[in-house]
Amino acid sequence: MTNTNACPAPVDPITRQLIRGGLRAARLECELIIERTAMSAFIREKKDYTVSFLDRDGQEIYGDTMGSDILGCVWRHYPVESMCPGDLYWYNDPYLSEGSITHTPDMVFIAPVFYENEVVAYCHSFAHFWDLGGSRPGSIGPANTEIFHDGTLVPPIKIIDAGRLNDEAYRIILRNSRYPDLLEGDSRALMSAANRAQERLLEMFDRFGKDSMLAAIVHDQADTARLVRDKTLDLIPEGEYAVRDYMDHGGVGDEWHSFHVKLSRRGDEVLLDATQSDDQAHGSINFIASDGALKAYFGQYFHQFDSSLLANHGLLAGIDNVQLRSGSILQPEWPAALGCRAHTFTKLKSAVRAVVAQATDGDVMAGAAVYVIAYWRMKDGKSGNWLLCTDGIAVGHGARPFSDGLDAIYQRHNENYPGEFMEMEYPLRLERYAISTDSGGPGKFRGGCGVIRDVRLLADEGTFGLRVENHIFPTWGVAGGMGGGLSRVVLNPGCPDEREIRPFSDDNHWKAGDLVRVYTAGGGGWGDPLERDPAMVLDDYLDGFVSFDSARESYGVVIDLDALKVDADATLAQRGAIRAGRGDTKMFHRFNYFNTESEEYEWINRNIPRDAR
Amino acid sequence: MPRYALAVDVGGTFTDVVLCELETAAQIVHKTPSTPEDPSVGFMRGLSEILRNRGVPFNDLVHIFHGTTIATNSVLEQKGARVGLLVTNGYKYVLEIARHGTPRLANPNLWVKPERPVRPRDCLEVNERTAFGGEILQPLEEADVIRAAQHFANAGVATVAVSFLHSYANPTNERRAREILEHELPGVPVSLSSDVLPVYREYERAITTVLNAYVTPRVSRYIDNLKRSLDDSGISASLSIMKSNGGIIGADTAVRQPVYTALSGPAAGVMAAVQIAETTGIDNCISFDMGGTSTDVSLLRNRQAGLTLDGKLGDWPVQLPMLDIATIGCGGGSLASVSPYGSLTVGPDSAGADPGPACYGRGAALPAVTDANLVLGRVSTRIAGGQLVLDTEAARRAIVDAVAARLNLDVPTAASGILKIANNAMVGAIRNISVERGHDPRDFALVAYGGAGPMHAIDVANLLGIKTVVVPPHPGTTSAYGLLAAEFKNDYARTFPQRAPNYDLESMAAVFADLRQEGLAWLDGEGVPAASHTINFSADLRYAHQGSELTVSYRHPQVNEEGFQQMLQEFHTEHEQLYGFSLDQPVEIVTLRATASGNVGKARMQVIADDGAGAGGLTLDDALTQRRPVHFDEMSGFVDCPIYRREGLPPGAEFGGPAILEGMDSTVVLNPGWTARIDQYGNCIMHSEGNLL
Repeated sequence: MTNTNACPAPVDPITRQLIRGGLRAARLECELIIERTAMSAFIREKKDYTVSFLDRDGQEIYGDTMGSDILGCVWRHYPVESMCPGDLYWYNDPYLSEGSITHTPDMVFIAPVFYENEVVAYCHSFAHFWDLGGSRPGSIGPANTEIFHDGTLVPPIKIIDAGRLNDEAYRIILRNSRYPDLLEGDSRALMSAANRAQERLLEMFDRFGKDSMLAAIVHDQADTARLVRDKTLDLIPEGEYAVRDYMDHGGVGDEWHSFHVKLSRRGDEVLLDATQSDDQAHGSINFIASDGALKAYFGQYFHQFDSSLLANHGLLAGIDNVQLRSGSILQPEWPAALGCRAHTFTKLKSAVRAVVAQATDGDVMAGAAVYVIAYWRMKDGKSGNWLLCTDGIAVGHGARPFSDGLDAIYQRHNENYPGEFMEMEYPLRLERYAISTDSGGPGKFRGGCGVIRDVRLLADEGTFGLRVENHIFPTWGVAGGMGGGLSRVVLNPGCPDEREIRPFSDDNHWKAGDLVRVYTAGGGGWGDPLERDPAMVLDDYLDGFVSFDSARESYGVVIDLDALKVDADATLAQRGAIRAGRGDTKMFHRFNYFNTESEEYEWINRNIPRDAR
Repeated sequence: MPRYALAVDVGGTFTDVVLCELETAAQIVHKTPSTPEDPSVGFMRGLSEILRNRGVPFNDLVHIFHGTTIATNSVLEQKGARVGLLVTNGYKYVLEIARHGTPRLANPNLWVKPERPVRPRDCLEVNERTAFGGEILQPLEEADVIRAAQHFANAGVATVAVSFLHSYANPTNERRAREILEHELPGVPVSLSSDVLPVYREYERAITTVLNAYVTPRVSRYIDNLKRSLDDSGISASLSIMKSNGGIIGADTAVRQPVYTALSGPAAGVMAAVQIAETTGIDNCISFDMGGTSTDVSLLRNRQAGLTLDGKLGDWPVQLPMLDIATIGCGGGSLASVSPYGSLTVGPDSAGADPGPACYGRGAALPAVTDANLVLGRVSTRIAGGQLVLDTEAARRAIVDAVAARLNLDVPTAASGILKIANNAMVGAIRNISVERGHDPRDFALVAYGGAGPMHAIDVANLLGIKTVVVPPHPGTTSAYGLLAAEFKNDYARTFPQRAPNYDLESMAAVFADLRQEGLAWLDGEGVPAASHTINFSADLRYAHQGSELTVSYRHPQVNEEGFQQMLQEFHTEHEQLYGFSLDQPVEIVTLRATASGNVGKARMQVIADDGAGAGGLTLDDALTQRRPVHFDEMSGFVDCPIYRREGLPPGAEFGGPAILEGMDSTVVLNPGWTARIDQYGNCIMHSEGNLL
């Protein structure tokens, strides 16, 4: 769709800042409504929700749509001429929306904003829902192979027609959930948030005037676009920058999958080519990447250079063209399952930094591990009911050019369940929640450490599913920093019946007294570990982040265990020996140092054959 | 013989002292510079100065109420003692992992975890285990504690925290650990989580207990110094400290649980707002305390300040009952700047005390909110009673160089833009805290204080649709007045998990009786007369499987089915009010609470005159000091505006805006379209004449 406001009149800078402030406050207010009125723990505790504002062309004014074309599939069924004040549209269909939504639990509700009898904007609320039916409680999971296993598909529908609820459609959708009360509570919260958002936007049109509002929106998008474009061209010289990253496997089957993105700049033209990615997976790790999403991933990186500007449609301005290949893991064909696409897109977000690393001599955060979810399912002995505990578990994040990576963070602001809460609520005992020593990638700045989580079953029996990545492919280190440690899952460690569990799997059985230990992966390191201040290595040893052996082998720091001090002479000698044996570092490290993705691709094909495990 | 109470509020720059004659409620205020190195020096100087100035014998002082930031500053400035932490096996990293999240708006590329008050090397595990119902699954392995004590001694640990899993349900193992630690480490204070915060959630309980341990040595040294100084001066008055919950506790109680005093200062301000609401007959108001670097806001419903369990101290959650105060990173010192891509922002960076705003003439390059007020004529060039002279030219230069020239604006437009942007940020925040608590700010009045609050209050009220603004007589020293208005208050809690339909009312009655006993014993110990002892009960409830609770009052005089059902009904109603829905689902009890309170003689507000004719026969015109051009957006520019001396305004005086009221410690801006009236307490009550939006 073309922009209907190509060249608006200027708006004074004070009014523009007041509008930005108004949008930020309105978004926060509407998100608070979701957090305070939603019913499922996923929204209330994990805080997986957002509210965004879109202009009349469907382009983002402010929010977190990350380049998605939210309105496109709505307009195909409901042209703008057919829309009325008080309408509300709803969908979760990843295929019909061409990747605006990337898996079925993510629901969007869209309210058109009418001012002086015409649509001037749209408001959009979004959240991850608890259960929509499908193969297992929670709908998505490692064992799914078709979108039909992932729960109910809602194509774009008009759930509220000029203020009147479409009760027939609503009842069908609710009927398909294992927990219809939660689904109803959560959807009502999103509906009222979208409605409040359009009220707030209308107040702003009243306060600042329609012409000023519409013009300010266009100017804001242009400012953000200018920032992203300038920074892209500043930081990325002419040339080609390619990255390939690997997913352990697709949930079903053993073979690894990879995506490939290549950024090329010729003159001032910037292109992104993802066509050399692998074919889609049989399992659920496929990620429908839209053009907009890939552009926005890059734009978001450059936005940090002036975060006083709004995150909006201008984020897409860094890249002129995106090429994707239908049937690939980034553009799967119907009806591939999509539930666990977080494995792929988390690595894709890290890959953006790997592209920038090649252009900036490594001035980026290293690779971050994929956040972990365990589905603990227990059969209650008395009632025979099945209980579900969806347990988010922390991982390690990449080291930065100025600081160690974040230890034990899940993903941004989401929060874990306290052990005391889990034990009170479920027949489980959380026996350990600890830093996983040596899981952070060595570097001048160390990658963040993952964790160890020990969970014991007290109920008679149960099953568990695990969404754990980075078991075969670690995170990458950069600028001389090394790759992070791997994840691992063990049943009954240290017991006669100790057994390794496949980290990305479902329908594992356990019985009363069994203990599952999850080791999560660490982030990549930044800079040569031989340049890390020995005092920091000693600190890491004393605090349990790095072992005595790793201090010596990875960092070349020899610790005098009696005095608990660095042995300076031995350290000098040890660092010299490592340096002589190792040679120069390269831009990236994972398994080995490498400079280009093709160099690594060859090594992986030789040493980790795709089908030979 | 007249008896006196004294309030001492120690702030970063000034120590405010208010002396109150208890019979007549006559009050006088005094300011003296703070002494951050040892705040007790400024405390004693302020005390001596005010007593000597008024010729009050030291013996006539019966109560001293004190608001202190010593615990807060120890945490914020990382000046606490080296702490050792003892935890249950498996939980060594409870502080390091915390709740595994980043702050909501943090940029993950840039955010760095704040340094914990104790490193993992000093967090030691011991074998012991209690279940959530209180059953001891594994008794304390005493050899582990002895070994830990050895490590602490070698490491130079000065204070120890113990936080075992589910210890709120049964403190046996923690108490045994304390016995051993006290034996092995004589003189080292030990904080138990089952004493400090006997409530579930291991990270929050552990960090709160650690912070308590962290500040204990410094706070107890400080209180000891104070008591010694008072003794040496022959003062026998009782010494009480303000807590974060708006109540006061005796100094000895504060030494045992210093973390309870963490939000002492802002809490005192809110208690003053409660008193102002009472004296002006306002039921619902929002307190608006705008200072140099930030603004504190809280909602008072039916003249009651809300409590929250989600408070923070610096980066750390502190789940003790605190007054529900939201802080916005915008104040008079907040700096305006233009971003590389041309957006004009105000705050959160602040000019601080040094160099201060550009108008202090110490070479600040960026203009602050205060500079914008100055060039618009809203504040006088001579403030603090003429002690401080402001440099208008320097303020104007900063606005031109940093903002106006870059955005091609004239100075008044740029300056008024800075104010609008600051006000807009505060309006957004006030609206959000109201919505979060289920209220519409239009149903509230604004009570404005702090150095900058009365200057911005009407602009903020206009944007929120608020029709009434009240400014107390001494906006800059409101917290000190609040100390005089507070009551003794302490909170007691015990986690008590109960699921429907098997509620055990008998055990519940027993727990309430225990908590009541603890409360009464404390009130007795503080010397609170038995006639004023009050115990209020409440419970933290939730729907089955919810992760957070609501605190609801238990009002029935007996613990029985009727009272229980009443409480459940109140929970459903409150849930509906806050979250917009209630459920037909089983309700669980998580924690039982009791609040013990009592009064040793709180001060009333002082009536300055009630005849409407004014003290000493003054009229409005007597208070007029000058007229000068002041910029108002409503009038599209500068208008000739009367300037009144606040202290000279007689009670009963009524006048319309525009007008400026200059007081000793702050300036009130009365916008066009608003009228002001001075009441018998010297409050300035302002009403909007219409909808000015």
